[in-house]
Amino acid sequence: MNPVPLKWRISLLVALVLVAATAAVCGVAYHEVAGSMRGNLESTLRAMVSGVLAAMEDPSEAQEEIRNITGNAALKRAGRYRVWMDGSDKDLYASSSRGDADRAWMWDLQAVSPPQPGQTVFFDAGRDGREYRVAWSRQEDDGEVVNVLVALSSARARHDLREFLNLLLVIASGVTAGAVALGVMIVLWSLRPVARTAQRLRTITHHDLGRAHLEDLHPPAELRPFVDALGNMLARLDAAMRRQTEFTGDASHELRTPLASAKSTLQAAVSRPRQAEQYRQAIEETLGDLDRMDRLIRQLLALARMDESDSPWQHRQLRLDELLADLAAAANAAADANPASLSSGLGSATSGSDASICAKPLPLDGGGWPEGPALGAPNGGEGEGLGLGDAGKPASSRRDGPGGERPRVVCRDMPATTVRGDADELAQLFRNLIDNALAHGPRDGTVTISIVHGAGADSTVAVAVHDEGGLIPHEALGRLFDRFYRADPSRASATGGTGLGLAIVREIVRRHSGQVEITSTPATGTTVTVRLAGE
Amino acid sequence: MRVLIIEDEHRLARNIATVLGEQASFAVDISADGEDGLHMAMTNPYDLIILDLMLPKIGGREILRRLRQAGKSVAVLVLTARDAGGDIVAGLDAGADDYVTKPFDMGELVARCKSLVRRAYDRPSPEIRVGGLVVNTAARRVMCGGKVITLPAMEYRLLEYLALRGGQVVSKEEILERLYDFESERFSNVVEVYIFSLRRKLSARGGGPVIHTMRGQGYMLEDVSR
Repeated sequence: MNPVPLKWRISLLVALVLVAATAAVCGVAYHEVAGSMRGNLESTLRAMVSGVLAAMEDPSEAQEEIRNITGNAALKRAGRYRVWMDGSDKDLYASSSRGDADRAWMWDLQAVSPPQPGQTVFFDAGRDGREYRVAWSRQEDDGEVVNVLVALSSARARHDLREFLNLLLVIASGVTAGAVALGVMIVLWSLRPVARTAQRLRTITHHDLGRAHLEDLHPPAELRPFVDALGNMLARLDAAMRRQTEFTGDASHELRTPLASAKSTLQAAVSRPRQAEQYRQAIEETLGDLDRMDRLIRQLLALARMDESDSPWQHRQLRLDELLADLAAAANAAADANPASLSSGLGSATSGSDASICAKPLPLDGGGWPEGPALGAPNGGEGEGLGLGDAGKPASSRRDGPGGERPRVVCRDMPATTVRGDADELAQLFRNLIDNALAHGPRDGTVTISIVHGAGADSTVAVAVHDEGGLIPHEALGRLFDRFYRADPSRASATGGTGLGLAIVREIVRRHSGQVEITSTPATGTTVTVRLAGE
Repeated sequence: MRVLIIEDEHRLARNIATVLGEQASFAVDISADGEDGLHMAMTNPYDLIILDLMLPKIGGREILRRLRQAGKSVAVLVLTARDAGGDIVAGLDAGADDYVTKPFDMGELVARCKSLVRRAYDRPSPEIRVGGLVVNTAARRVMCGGKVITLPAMEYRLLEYLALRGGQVVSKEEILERLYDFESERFSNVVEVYIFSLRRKLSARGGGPVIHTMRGQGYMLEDVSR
């Protein structure tokens, strides 16, 4: 539907108001003028009646006198008159020049209800399309009642009145038309800043957003909120666009880095004949790079899917304590199953039976590869849903270089806890947190998981994942959940993290209407706390 | 020729170092972070620096800026995974001599490195001629009097350097600094040993230049045929 332009709507409104106003003014003026004209006519009639009565004092001159009196020069046409006595059917005097028809008409006028003696009544009468104003006066004189009837044509007055009305209409329509034109002009003029803003907006492309485009527009005060809102919207779009561009750049950087590493490794290997062991090492390193790319692609996909939909796919009740225990056991089992990554497997091998450690053995699908972590073979998580392919591969397992111990994952304070959520997403959330804690805590440290229920009416469930890692700088804490943000860029390749783990955590928490916070002190280590709504 | 690689992906750096050592006979040092890398670049006479832009502690662009501010004219090849047009322009504007985006072809990188080093010695042609001696730096082939001489890596490195500096006196310290990375063992008389061996091989072919020993100053490769 094409809406009526504002200028026409405003003009129509102005026109209606003006028409109503001028109609009222004209009506009042017309009424006043008409009343005054009638008053003039009546006072003339009254004067004539008095003149007639006075003229009758002298009967000899009366006929002539009456004719003079009623022949009002100003009206150009003489009035008609009749004078008779009550009870008599013969006129004393009458304007007789116009014949019987005229006389008969004058007689008919008598039929209207007569005035009280001493009174004069005025009434309208018409004849042959002509309007007359008639005065009928009855005067008592010596016990007899004299009737004087004078009729004057009101055509002249009506004509003047009509002319006046025409003048009023011309003025009113002129004023209305002028007001409409003025209204259109005012609307167009006042909308010029809008047109300017629109013109400016048309030049803005997604390459170059930002409020700077609107800064030199100087809109009038009324349009300031509108232009400001547009500017704010542009600024928000600009920020989102920049974030997106940055994200794309970061993603390509993160993908190219292992790709460059893999390519250089293979090209260096084939650049000249080498020993079998050197080829093997090159292939293993390349597989590690491929694994890193694989993980990154999975996580990018996970984020992309979560960006697409705002809520988890499947919300259902699940036991959070059991989920966490399974994840902890899987992480510990991965450590036990990969002694090759340890320079000395003794330290962790003995701790498997510790009652405080949730070490349910989880068979790892080594896929026949003798060197689990270095080869980075997929761990049978394929197709289990998003991110599960990472199961049993905590990031620390791919830490290179010397290292004796691996951190253990310990569950402490695990009351039975039921929450509503998506099992896959929550598993990924806590797996990421555990992997992070394992990667950033000391090698011989402990990662502690605990559940705390809210007190009283507070039904929230807080899951804390704690590691004994060092202090994260305060300014980094706020950005840790940003995509590809790393508190310490130099460890990017050392920890094998993708820089997306915590971003995914934040997304999943958001989709479960929860909260996540991170605290870090040198004395106690780093704790990530996730709060979810309990059942 | 001595090259510094400042790159935090240590395997990539190692691979580049390996190939540069094997295919170009460059002595290569590696630094994994910006701070360390800047210090090494400031204190050693490198012929080429291969610089990653995304580095811990000090970014690559900042390193480049500080190097140029300090008046270092060393050739810099920037290596990065970011290839937005603006990044490339900004890198070159900051004083980089060449630009390679990851992932790259190792052969191309080596060729670019060699070309940058040749230009640094004002020898745009891959072939350096000193009298009857022709050193082809691209193929790493040495010909003397029309015949090919096969040289071990260190001897080639020394001869190539002397040829690049043909007609100039090169001190022993310079040779040691240019031809050895930090990891190499340096014997006090290692240069003399290689010089002796080179002299013998050059004189056996005849027609080639002569390596003079300038007592107390160093060595000079000179064309004596004219």
